[in-house]
Amino acid sequence: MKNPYSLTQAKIEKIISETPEIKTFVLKPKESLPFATGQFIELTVPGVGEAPFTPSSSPYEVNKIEVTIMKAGFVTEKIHQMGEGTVVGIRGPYGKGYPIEKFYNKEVLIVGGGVGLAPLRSFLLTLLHEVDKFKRIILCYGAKTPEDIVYKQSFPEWKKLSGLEILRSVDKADENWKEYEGVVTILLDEVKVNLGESVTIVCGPPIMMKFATRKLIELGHEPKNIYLSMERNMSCGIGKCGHCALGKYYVCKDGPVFTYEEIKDIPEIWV
Amino acid sequence: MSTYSITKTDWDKLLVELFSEYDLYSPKGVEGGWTYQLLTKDNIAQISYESHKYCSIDPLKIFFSPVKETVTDNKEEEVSSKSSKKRVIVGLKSCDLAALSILDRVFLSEDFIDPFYKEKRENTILMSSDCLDAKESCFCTEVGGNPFPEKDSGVTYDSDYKSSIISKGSLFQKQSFDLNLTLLDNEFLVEVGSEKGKRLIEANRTLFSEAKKEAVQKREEKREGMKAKVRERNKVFSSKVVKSFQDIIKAKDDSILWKELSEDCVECGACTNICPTCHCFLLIDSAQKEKFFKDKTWDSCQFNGFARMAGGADPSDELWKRFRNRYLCKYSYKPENFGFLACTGCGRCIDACQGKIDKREVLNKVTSSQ
Repeated sequence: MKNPYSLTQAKIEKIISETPEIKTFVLKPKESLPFATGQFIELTVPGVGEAPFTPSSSPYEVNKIEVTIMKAGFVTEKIHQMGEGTVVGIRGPYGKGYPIEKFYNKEVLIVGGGVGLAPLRSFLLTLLHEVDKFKRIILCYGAKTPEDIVYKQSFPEWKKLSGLEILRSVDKADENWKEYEGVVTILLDEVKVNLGESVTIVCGPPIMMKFATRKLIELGHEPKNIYLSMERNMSCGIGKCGHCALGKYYVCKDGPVFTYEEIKDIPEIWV
Repeated sequence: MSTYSITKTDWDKLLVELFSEYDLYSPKGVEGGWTYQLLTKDNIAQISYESHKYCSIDPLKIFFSPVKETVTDNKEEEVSSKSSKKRVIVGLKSCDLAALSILDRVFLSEDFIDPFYKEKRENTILMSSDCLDAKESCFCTEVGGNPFPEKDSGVTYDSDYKSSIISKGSLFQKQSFDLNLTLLDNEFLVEVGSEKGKRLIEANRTLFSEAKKEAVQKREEKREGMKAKVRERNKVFSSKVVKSFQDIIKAKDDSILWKELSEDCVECGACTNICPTCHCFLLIDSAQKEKFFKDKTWDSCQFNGFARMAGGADPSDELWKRFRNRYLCKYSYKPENFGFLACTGCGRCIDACQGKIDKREVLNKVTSSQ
């Protein structure tokens, strides 16, 4: 019987520095680990610890997995110290991904904040793979400063794509910044979507998710059409260790993607 | 399945017989109760079925989800099926069996089976027995159970579980013993609960005789007597325990109430460690020379930091939230997910609590606050 805790070795092929605190690691697993966009993996630093990450690469790219990691704790600190060529352990994928087929023929509004763009990049690349299936794709992205924007090299390419609209804001602009200034929710006032025909996908820091959701509700979006990528302390990944409980759900098994409808009555969801 | 009679002497013979193939465990008296001990051939005859009256101090989960076990050393993909010796556990009680059904749902759920748990479960024969007395903290009858095991007594999942617990009065767990023993004078009534148990009887058929009607009748009388005793003992809680979980859900946002209820909690984690259905664990990575290990150890939702994420955000950052979680998990979340309560009324958490918090009182207060 398969041991759910056993790891697949993965070599860090390339490290891309996104911001002073965020790096993208391109991993090449010994055996391919097919995943659906929105699912996550557990990454082990051998002998040190394990942490959950949602791949930021396209699921159509089968030979490598990219994870974009912010220095935020014990394990991520260690990962940031690693160099190219280092071998880590990965297992997964876990959880449920985004129900892409439900979004066909709809306007898809993507709202991301900070490093929360990581899973959304994977999601976006998945949509772009079959871009004709969606009525509209709009990306609203917010970061603290222009320097804190991740995937800086991808934006120029994305901006050229037809079928993808991009709005960006920073909390604090510098002299070169020509886009919006303010928190990401201000972008939602600029975007006019057809409420009955749209879904919104949100990922970012809890405080940003809270206010984005509140804003979307104010604007008339239905809770069942708001998809939130929830963060909890996912550890085992298989719904047994209890650390990622969110009401009656385990985020690792029942999520990490939930509609606001599913979780709106649970206490302390925005922590 | 059938019920048989066996004399005490023949029963001991059977256990000695099993010794070559199995490790035998039985509760043995210690200060304040009984704990499971590995038997030697010589002390089999000394198992005191009379004195072991109710559930042991240690929960049955120690056999299936040990305090600490290595779950991967990064080398072996396959889990060896011969890593543990076969075991017979004698003398576990109705509430212990009920707890196993929760653990089964967690560790044997179809999407991800825990092979370590599964292997131990398959290699173990469970020989339960009826309770002969109840301790002060026993309240199985208040959560839909009985002080004796019943094959498949569990109420099946009703999609409208909230009304089912009220109308049927039970969301009790399924119990799966292999054999159950009822002590009657100098013989045992043995009820067969599984194929494993059936095979064991068949292999030693000459030791057993068909149970007489009168004996079964006597068992039922004894059982009713015990049931009445546990009921009587919990009269002060006026049978509110089983119904209160709806109120727990209603009271979930009442922080003043939960702060008051958790005032005496010292966050020692005894309640979750001793709980036969608590299954939460922590994965710990470590290294020894060139080898890396991942160990699984018991953890507790009562501990500060249990739910803390990288970066420091913690949905259970206050004691009352963690305290509340144990009640929500057992009386609301698990019933919603599994169709039965994750509390068996064994009372261990009441006995173990350093702050002398009686779960039944908490449930009562939650009920009366509405």
